[in-house]
Amino acid sequence: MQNKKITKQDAIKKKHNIKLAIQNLLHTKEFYLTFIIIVLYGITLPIALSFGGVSWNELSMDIFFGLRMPRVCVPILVGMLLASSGVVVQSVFANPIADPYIIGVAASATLGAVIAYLLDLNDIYYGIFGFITSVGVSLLIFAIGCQRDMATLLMLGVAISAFVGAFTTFAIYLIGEQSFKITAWLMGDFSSANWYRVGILCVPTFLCGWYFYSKRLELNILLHGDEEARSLGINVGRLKIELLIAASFAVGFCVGMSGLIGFVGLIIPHILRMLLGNSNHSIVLPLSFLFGGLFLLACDTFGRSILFDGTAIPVGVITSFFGAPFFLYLALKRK
Amino acid sequence: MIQVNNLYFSYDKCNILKGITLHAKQSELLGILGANGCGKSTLLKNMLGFLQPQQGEVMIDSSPINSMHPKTLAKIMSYIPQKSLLTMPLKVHDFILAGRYAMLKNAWLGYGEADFQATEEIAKMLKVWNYKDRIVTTLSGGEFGRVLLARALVKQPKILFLDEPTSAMDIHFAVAMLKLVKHYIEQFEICGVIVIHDLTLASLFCDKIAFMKNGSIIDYGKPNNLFKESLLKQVYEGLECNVLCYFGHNIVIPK
Repeated sequence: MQNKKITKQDAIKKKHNIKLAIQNLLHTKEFYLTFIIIVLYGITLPIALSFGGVSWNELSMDIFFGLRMPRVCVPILVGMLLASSGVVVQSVFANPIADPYIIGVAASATLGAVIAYLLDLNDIYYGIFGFITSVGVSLLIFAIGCQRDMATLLMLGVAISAFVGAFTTFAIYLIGEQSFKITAWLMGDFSSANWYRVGILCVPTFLCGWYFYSKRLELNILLHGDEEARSLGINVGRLKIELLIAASFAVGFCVGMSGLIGFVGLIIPHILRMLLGNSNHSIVLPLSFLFGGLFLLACDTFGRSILFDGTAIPVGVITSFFGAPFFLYLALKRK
Repeated sequence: MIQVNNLYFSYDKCNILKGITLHAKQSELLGILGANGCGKSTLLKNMLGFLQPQQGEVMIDSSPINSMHPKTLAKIMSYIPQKSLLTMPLKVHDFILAGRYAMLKNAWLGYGEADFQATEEIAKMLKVWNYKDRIVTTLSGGEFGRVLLARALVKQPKILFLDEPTSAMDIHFAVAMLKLVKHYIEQFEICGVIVIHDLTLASLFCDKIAFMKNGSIIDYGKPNNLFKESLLKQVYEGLECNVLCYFGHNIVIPK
């Protein structure tokens, strides 16, 4: 009898706790942000799907499912990968302005992808080659710039981007007349989106999303500084190398599938941290995933719809248009 | 509890530690003192396992620390740095919770009920619970010192290392912090090792003191036996001072 009473009381207590937890959740900033982002997806997705070469009346199922759907999926996946790898790279370098684009990792992935293009390989090799070159460069940056200040890291990024950029430019020169396609791709372009590329991008999105989220506690601890992280039980060097390899995997495939898209990994984590007032990766990582996808989808839709003659502006141009002033603002604010 | 045996450490061919031997027991606060650049912090980092000595070893309960995994080591010892290198905003609650990381069996699942409970207990004990939702970087020196202490104690370590924890605090906060440390060390019978500059505070709170000079320990024992004009002159490169006895504590007054 008494046992029954206790279990009943426990059940009431449990119910009360769940109620309390839900009430607490409803009052958090992250809940509102998630809600707003989902609503914005609801608005952006139909707009994104409605823009294209043919009007709604002439739209066939083939065009809708064969062209427009992948055109919407690729920016979302790339945005998710770029934003989350931005969060990770910033925590690895304990530096809020470190971003795969700024420190030269994206530029080195471009070199890999251009080499794959030169060798006339299948699409998937763009990602694989991009991954290989970006891993090499990011580990080099880690070896040289990990303990350095922000200015050194930036200079390192400029030097590396220029160095690998020289090879890329030479490769484009070798391609000759056909190089327009690659130039458009260098600006960050989703016009070649198809289901095959969506399928390829799903692999790093799933793997990196799972891996980054599984390391959320460790990423939080990395913010405390190397020695403190070590004293809290982390094998700092090994963890950072693993995280950088994973981030390069994400960036390599993004660049391979859609070209060089800058500043997403910088803008998204910053806006989220600013809005949340918190860097807790348990919140920032999932939200950067959601928000990154939305941001890039919105930028691409904007680029496709802004010019009346139907010309699409490459998405990298749009992100740089917003990202570069934002970067300048951050740099000046820090000073 | 912690034993350092004939430790040698050099950096860029420069010998920083030269044959250090010392030990600290349960319920005891060991102070490491000496002039700037004598190797105090390097010794502490060797004891924590951040740096690997070229010769000699550091043992905890007779097992060498260089054979231990960082997580195992982190369960046993806590470190309170001089200042934090935090570059991004974190809430006080999450900051303290990070101290429980080493206790987790599966990090994928995140922190559990026991971790939240331990965090609440220690935060209430150190009176930081009221500002658990504030951002760490906005705290004052004294408040931040308590938060660092909470993060260190939340895992109930056996050994507590402090690297000049009071250097950025006013005398009120410094005394309050050291009282808390001392109280905790005695209550939970753990061992404390502190690098400290303030001779008065060292005399008041340390049970044992090791004086270092040029990478070696030149004297080691109870503060009252060590605080002598001649020894202090030798440690601090010709410091002229008087040592007064005040309620059983030797206090150093510079001339």
